[in-house]
Amino acid sequence: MAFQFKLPDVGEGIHEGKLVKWLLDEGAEVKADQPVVEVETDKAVVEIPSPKAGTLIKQHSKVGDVVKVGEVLFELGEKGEQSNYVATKTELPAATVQKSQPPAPKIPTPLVSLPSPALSSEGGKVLATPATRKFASDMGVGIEQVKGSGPGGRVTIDDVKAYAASGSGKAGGAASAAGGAGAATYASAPMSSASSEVHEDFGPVERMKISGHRRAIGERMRKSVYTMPHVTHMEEADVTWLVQVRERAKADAAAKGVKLTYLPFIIKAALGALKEFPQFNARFDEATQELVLRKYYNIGLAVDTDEGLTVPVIKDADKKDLLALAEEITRLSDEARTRKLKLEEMRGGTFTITNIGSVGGVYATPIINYPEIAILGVMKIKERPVIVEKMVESRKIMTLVLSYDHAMIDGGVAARFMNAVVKRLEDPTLL
Amino acid sequence: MTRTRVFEGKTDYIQILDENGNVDKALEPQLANEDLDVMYRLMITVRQFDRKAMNLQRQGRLFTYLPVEGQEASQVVSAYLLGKQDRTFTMYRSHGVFIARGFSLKQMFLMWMGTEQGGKIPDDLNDVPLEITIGSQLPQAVGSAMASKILKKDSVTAVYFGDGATSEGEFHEALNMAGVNRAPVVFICENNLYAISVPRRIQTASKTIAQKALAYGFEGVQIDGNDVLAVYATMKEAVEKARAGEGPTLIECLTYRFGPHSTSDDPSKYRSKEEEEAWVKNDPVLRMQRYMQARGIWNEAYEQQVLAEAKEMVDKAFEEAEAEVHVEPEDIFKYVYAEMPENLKQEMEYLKKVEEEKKELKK
Repeated sequence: MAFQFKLPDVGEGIHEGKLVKWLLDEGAEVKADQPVVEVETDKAVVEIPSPKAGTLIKQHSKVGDVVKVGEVLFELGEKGEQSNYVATKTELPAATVQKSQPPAPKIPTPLVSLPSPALSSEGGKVLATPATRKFASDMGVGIEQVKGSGPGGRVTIDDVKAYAASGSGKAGGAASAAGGAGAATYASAPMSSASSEVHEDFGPVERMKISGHRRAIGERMRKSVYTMPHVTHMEEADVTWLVQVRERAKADAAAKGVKLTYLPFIIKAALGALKEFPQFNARFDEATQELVLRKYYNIGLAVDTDEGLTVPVIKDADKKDLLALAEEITRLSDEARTRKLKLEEMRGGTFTITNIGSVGGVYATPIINYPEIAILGVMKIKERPVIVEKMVESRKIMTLVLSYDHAMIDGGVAARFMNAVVKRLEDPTLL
Repeated sequence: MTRTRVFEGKTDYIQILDENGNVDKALEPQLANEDLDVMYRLMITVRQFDRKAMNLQRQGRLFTYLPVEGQEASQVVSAYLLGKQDRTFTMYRSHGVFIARGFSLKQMFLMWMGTEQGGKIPDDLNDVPLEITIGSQLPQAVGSAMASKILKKDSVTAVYFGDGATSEGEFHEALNMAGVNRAPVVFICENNLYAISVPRRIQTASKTIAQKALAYGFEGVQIDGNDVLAVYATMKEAVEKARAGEGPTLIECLTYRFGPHSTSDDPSKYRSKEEEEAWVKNDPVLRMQRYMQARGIWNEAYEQQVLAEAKEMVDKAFEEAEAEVHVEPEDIFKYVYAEMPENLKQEMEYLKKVEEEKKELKK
């Protein structure tokens, strides 16, 4: 029975070795502990002795081969015995692949010495100085896409400029548009630009540049959450009556070419409550430590667009009737979705309503539109069994959520504000 | 103003049996033939063990190994002079000390196979497991020596370390404590000229390592570490001095390792062939042979017999060790605390689970 000698780890943590020299030919008699072969590891050249006596019936690698630890190096057997050992799939192919691979192309030595961060190839990726990377980032250009003309394929600032000018990077255009004029709107800034797929620690990832619009949303969200202790109050309104009223009004509005949703009713209900509780139509002035009660009612509407959250504002909402509100909502929403909103149309809000329920959800905890003091969230109307005078009835239920700045407003006040809204939604004659 | 000399030190170099077999009769220690016979057999056993271990590592049967060949005299002879009540603190290359102290060869193989039972000190020995970290054993040894002094135990501590360790803070702390407390300790520095690849000349600006003892108030002596007589005479005096309560001694043994630092080292990258060949001619075993031959107690037949016996002992010990070796992943956790704490139990269970999952995957 032939004995297969496998290359052991001859150092500490060695994975492979290069066969330097056979010290014995096939057919030679081998004594126990007699050196048979020389193998070079990344640490040293070592002689490998045979663990037992026998005849060297087969050398399984040639001089110059790279042998992995665990691969069969040679076989011992009886004199005249033939080897019938065949490397299994998990063994030899690895070494074969290694042998047949052409040497990896070497990165040419740079002509001038540069700071090491530039030379470090970051996992074989782009070579560029930090200044160039910053420049590319500012231009909205993904540096991975730029062909470098510098030593060793290094990307230079001129390369980035040329790339941006060629229009290859869609971000280039957007960036210049954003930087162009004050007329540029929030909504016109792209969500992301010049993303690219790279590998990080645990797998492939895609890095997306954050657009100016997204950044602005983020900053306001952070400022809101970090400066105002948020509490969300939740309530249900039985809007069965309102649903009937709206159904009737909807047809009339349609005859006038107006799309009447529930939102104008909700705005009306909120306006009534805001007039009862003026501290909700306010902002906190940090500098003077004063609550600034606004005597005007500009209602912001959170609109979900492809480019991210946009909040157009209905000016002097309290001076508009249901149909006027409905018309304005339609116009502003369309403009938001087609990115035609003017900056003025997104400023000056005093209270915001988010109709998140139109997309879905049972409850939500909206974030206050800084520097306002509260935000009202409206969930989808659902038909539910409700006990009315000891009888189960099918009723239309709308869930309302109110996030408010607890630093300025106590829970009791918030609950009473919510009750004022609910009261109006449950009884449309109050609107 | 006056200027007076407040300290003047001297450090001696001792060689008794020179490279050509000449003996300095004035310094020659009185050694019985039996002592020489035992020490010679020990040195041959160490060398056989060492060569076997290197071979076994190349065959994948030991995990790693640090050869001692060339340094047998300084280890075997110094340890031979210690009694059972004495204690050694050793390092990873101290195979000669272990064998001279009476460790079984089987256990030493088990140790280099990475088993826990291999590291256990036999019950009848007073020694401490070897240290891998450079220099850590030095303060421990001094503490042990001070303890034996306080407890009035008739025990001398010997601590072994290399030239590289003398650059560690522990070396200086240990020497200072030993000197000021007159601890019964012998510091044995095996200066084999290289700390892995760092040559002695860039290790310290001192002319010798031995002279460093002077700063700590005790004697240091540099000796020919490949000269069994010099090691014997110096160590004997140092042990007797320590036992008599007269404090520590630093012995710097000039020697050379013939092989690499470890099984993953390539000494040709930092030593010349000429240097290596010159030291092989200065082999402590060869020099002892010549001395014994001159005394009429060594000949070729004796050599063959000693060699055959040593080889047989070593081979048999390895066979037994390989038959006995049994390592379970749980061994990693078992031997740290008398009672395993909860976090180790959890880790052990996790490891078992992972191992099981691996087995499942292989099916």
